[in-house]
Amino acid sequence: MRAGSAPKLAAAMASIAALALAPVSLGFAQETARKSDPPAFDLTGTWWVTQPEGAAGFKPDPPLKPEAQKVVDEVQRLRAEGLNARDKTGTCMPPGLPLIMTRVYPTQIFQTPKLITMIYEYHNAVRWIWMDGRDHPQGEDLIPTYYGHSIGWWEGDSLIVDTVGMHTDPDIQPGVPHTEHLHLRERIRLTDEGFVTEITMTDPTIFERPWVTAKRYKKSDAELQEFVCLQESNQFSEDESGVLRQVAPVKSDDQ
Amino acid sequence: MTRIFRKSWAMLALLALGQMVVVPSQAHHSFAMFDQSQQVKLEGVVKEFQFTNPHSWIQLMVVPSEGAEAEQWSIEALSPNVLMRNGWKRNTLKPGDKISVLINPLRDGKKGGNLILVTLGDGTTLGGGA
Repeated sequence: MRAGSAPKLAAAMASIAALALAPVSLGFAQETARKSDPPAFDLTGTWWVTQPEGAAGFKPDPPLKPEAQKVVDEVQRLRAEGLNARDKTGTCMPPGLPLIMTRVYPTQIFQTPKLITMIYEYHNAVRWIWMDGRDHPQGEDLIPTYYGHSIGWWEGDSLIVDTVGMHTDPDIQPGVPHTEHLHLRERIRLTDEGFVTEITMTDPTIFERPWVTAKRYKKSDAELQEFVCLQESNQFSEDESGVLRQVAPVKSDDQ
Repeated sequence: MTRIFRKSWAMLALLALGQMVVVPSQAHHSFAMFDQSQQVKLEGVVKEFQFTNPHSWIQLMVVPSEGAEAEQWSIEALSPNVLMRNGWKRNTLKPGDKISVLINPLRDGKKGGNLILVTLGDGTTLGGGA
């Protein structure tokens, strides 16, 4: 095997894909006509995820099933060799949810009674959280998107946000895959310095039990700037085994 | 004079810059390709500065030893969004500028690395990478 090739990654992912085809019961599908408490706070403003837990993925480590653990192990083995694997944002692909929450860039939030809009500076990404009582689209109407379909409601001092329909292309964090059954339930509360979102991730093919993690945010006076990931100036591509390769480091050809 | 050397003064500079550097999640890819246990200081002449997303790049011409031909190093830095908040401008580096950079070198031995900080001709130091 040549250095850095990753056939084990492809095999591990194939078995996950097969397992994900099995029908699963999705508890959120039948929830309709939620009663919402009055809004407990207004998130309108600009926020910055705090360090160090904002950086480099979600903590603690996920409770993985054996097939998913194989993918993680292989990615870590490659990383020890100095190779980035399953890191699609490195090729300018959108990070999607929930990976975008691990990037340390500002997020601007606009809260209105029926819609909360989050604009992430990283990748100019937008997330719409519908607060008007609607449910998620079901079956063929639920089209996978990078940032999924989010609905929200109020429960006492908390904003609950529920997200489904996330594209399987980006990993949850590099090396932690998910299927189309990934489901995020966030409980957002105010803190002394800003807010915290406690995130419960479920995906029956990937996790032994729900993965509970959190991200904390501080208020910021940063102004958002455009961030368009330009393929032309990006210098990495992904090879057939899922490993990032640096391509042509020099743009000009006069050398 | 242009040369390559490895020194521990770099750690002092890093400490001085505090949390401005070492923020890997502001990157859009993992840093596995860089040897973060090593720091290399390079002095050279800017050939090209690409102030672009997702990452910025400095093409630096470095003379490895006296009388030798200059070699091109490709130094990766963070996005303009991050660099601007660290005090960079689009014209902070211009072709012909003599600068020194501190980098984590590529593990594979190619002439490249991840920018930790840059020292401009007037002595100004800017954090640039992760």
